[in-house]
Amino acid sequence: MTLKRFLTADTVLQDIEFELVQGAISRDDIGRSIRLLKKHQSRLREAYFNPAERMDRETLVARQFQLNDMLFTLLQEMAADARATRLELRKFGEMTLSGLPAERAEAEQRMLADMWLTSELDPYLEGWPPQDLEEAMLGEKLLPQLVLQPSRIPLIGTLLNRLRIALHKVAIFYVTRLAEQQVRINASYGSWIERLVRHSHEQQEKIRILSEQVATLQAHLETLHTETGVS
Amino acid sequence: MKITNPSISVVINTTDRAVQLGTVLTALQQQSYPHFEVVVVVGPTKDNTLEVLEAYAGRVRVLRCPKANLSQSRNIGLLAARGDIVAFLDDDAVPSRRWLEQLAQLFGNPDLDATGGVVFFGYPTDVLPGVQYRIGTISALLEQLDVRDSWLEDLEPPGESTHWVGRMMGANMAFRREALLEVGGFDEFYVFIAEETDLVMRLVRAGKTVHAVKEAAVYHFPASSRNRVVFTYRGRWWLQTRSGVYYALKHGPRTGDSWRAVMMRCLHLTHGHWLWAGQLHRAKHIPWRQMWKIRLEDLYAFFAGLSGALFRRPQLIPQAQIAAARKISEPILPFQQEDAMLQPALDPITGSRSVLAPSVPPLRICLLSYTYPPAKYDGVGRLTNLMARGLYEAGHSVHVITHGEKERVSFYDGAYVHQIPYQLERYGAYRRFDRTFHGLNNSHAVYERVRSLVINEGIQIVDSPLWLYEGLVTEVSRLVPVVVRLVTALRQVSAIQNEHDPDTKMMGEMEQLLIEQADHWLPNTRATLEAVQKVYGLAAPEQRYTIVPYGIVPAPDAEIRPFDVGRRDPLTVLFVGRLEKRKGIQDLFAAIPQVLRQLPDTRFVIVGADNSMFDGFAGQTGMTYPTYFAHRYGEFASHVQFTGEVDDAQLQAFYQTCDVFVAPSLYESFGLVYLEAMNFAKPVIGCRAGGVPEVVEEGVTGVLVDPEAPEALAGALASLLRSPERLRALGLAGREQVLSRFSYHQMASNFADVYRRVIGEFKSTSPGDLLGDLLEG
Repeated sequence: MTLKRFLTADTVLQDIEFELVQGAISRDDIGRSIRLLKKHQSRLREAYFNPAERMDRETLVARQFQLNDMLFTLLQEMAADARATRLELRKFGEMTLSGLPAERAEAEQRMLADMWLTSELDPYLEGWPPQDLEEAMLGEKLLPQLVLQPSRIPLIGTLLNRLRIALHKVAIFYVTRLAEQQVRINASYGSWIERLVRHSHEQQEKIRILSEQVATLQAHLETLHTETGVS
Repeated sequence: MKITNPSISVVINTTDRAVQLGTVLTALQQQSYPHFEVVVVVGPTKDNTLEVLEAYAGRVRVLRCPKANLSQSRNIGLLAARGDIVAFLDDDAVPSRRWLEQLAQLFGNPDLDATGGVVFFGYPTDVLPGVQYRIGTISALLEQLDVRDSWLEDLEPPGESTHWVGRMMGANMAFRREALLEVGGFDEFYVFIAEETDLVMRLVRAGKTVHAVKEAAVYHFPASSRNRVVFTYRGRWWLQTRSGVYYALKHGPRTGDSWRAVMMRCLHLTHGHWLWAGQLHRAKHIPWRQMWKIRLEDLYAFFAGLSGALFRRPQLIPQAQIAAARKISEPILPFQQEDAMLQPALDPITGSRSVLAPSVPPLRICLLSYTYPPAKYDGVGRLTNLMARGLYEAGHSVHVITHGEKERVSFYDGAYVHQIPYQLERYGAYRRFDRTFHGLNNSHAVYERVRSLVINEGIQIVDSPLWLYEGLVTEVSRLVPVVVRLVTALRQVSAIQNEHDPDTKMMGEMEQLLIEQADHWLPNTRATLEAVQKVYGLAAPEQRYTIVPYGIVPAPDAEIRPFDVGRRDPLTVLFVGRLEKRKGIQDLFAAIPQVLRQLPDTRFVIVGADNSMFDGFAGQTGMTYPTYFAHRYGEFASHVQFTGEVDDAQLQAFYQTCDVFVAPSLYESFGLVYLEAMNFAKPVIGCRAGGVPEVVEEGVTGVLVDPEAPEALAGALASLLRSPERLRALGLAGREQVLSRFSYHQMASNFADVYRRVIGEFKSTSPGDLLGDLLEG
């Protein structure tokens, strides 16, 4: 199924307003939550470092867990917000993809009739490729990176770092060759799986058409049988 | 319960920086929040600081600090402060206009004990980073993590220490006075460096809330002092090591860091300077003697910090003095005068201001331009620069937003220039329209900086050029009024150049949106207005637009050479412009032989880059314009000089030495080249096309002919060259027009009149209180 999304001046205005609203949301709740967390943490510090009411370690750990819980809650809220935003975006995208209201369509299509975006919304391929396969097909995800914890030993640390970087680079050179080969193999796998999925979809489509034809023929046979009386 | 209108004491600690102190005091006169006093603590100064302060007698409280010790100086200021809030400002930093207003708003929250805003390096140089400080964090071992957008981006900052707190920067920080007194003020062991961090660490341990914000901006113009010489490597760097070692030993073990981590950190601080000195020497920045001086001083500093931390108690304010300070009940000494709102804009680098004293409050204007000097710039950048200069000289505050690879705010030629990068993270639906996609994201980045400028500077209006629709998102936000400078529309140009791809069309749509949504239009000529209306099908009621002609910098009288009627030597005709069809170069080529047949001694100078590859001429003829002329009119080639593109100085010389200027363009929305020639008292010849008749007054400052009429052009040229009196009269009239109608001062004045009217008519629909957002992030 191919849908067309007309980009018009109104669409642009909607998009800009949408982005402006997104900016406003992110500034509100999260900042306030952070401030509350800081306040709580400050009280905890005050209680712990105040010699008059020196807090015992168990109480401190319990309070710290409480603080962690608050942090997790905040992160959870942020994740929920992010999910909601993604859903909003998706809904927004689908709304614009599913065409425009009839009363506006004519005027807007006249404005930018030759400007459209196409979107293949094949239900069988929705969500394709799976995330892990997509990552495996991308070269940069597999190529090894130089991961080194720099030595912090004064004076000879720099020398040690240089030596270790040189050794790591040699290892990376060989691993990179293997990784590149693997990426090519993965890409080939991905491509073949995609073909198979398409093929399977086409087969199913053919089966559906054939089933309909069989049903039609059966109905036709039954009609003939009734008319001729031949069984 | 929210605290309203708290009193603020601004404490400035200074030694040997009289000029900078004068500048910062001038800047404080322009603050939008009036309820504050200024306390200046003067160290053992050797310059005329006290003379500068005499001008502020009765408005500034002046105290003396016997030693060049910043912590001690800060404590003296703190003890004398009468405000509920104590704000520290460096003597070489200039606050944004709403700095104190924002601090007052923040401290309206009774939970807050300390805050600070962003600090920009204000010099227009790449030597320094653009943002010196913004919401930083720092550990108990003095490991810094700066310029963070959010506290939650990196919950576990990298570093050895386990204890991290929000960092403050001495150039821009404010505290609740009582909280500072409670912890004993600053530790005077710190001569400078880390004294503010030590204080924050103690405040946090005492349970106080420290919360830095992204805004409340201060522009820092580091000046030399006895501790360092700016833009050199000379300085008392060992004080950093001394402070660092002392700090790490005082706070690391107390907050749970291991002794091993603390000692390693102390060694690293020392070793860091050791290595740095070596690097400087290898790069030939310092001689070997200085390298070893730095290294030996550093070793001394290590032991000084170590012994200070292990064997000395913190040098805080004695309790008796704190008790006395708490008893102070006198009101603050008001600093601002009645004319605070009439203060003209300030050059924060030189401390100078406009000589014109405004009779009405000057405006706060934001100009947009994708390119801007001193980086590489185009015509829009050049015009915007002239506008900024003219507006500043009339006393208005100007901020220019332009594109840059990195964020930077610097003061240049009368305006704060905000270079902003943009991320391609929004408007994904337009990704396949490359220029549109980039343009929208840039426009959004511009909006965000405008928003920041409204918060920090109280910007009242935004002026956007037509191309690249930079002001579009700001228009939609309805945050401030946006006016649009109309020039030749993209759709006009794309029609001429036969560009009809979807991206160009989409850009045209954006441009149309920008015009439609604008609060006011500013075409440079009526011809431009009519062309834009026609191409976009827009109606333009008179109250919607104002024609503002462009202006240039008038050349000094000494450089003007009007035509000498007694001259008998050959005359020179000058053409300036790209060599392309639209500029009428083919008509000029056809006219030249006709002129030379009548006046064979005449000389033609053609200045400008050949554009035959792009206007289709090379495709048709296989030749560039100069080659074509030599080929087609070979017998006249010796009378014609093609210079190619020249620099500004050479161009001025050509204008100065020519006798007639000719530019037979088929279309010009304005025609700046005619003004440039008129500036040097030269008569001009152009076509009756576009905005040219609005710039060249026919028969008064020049001669106009129909476009694409070489015979008429040749006739006009020959006639003018034969009449020395006309050459002189037209030239002098042109010069007069430049001075009276087309100077950049006049242009800026015209723009300012329109801005003031549009600001008065604007009604914001922006929701919420922008300053109220500050505490939220």
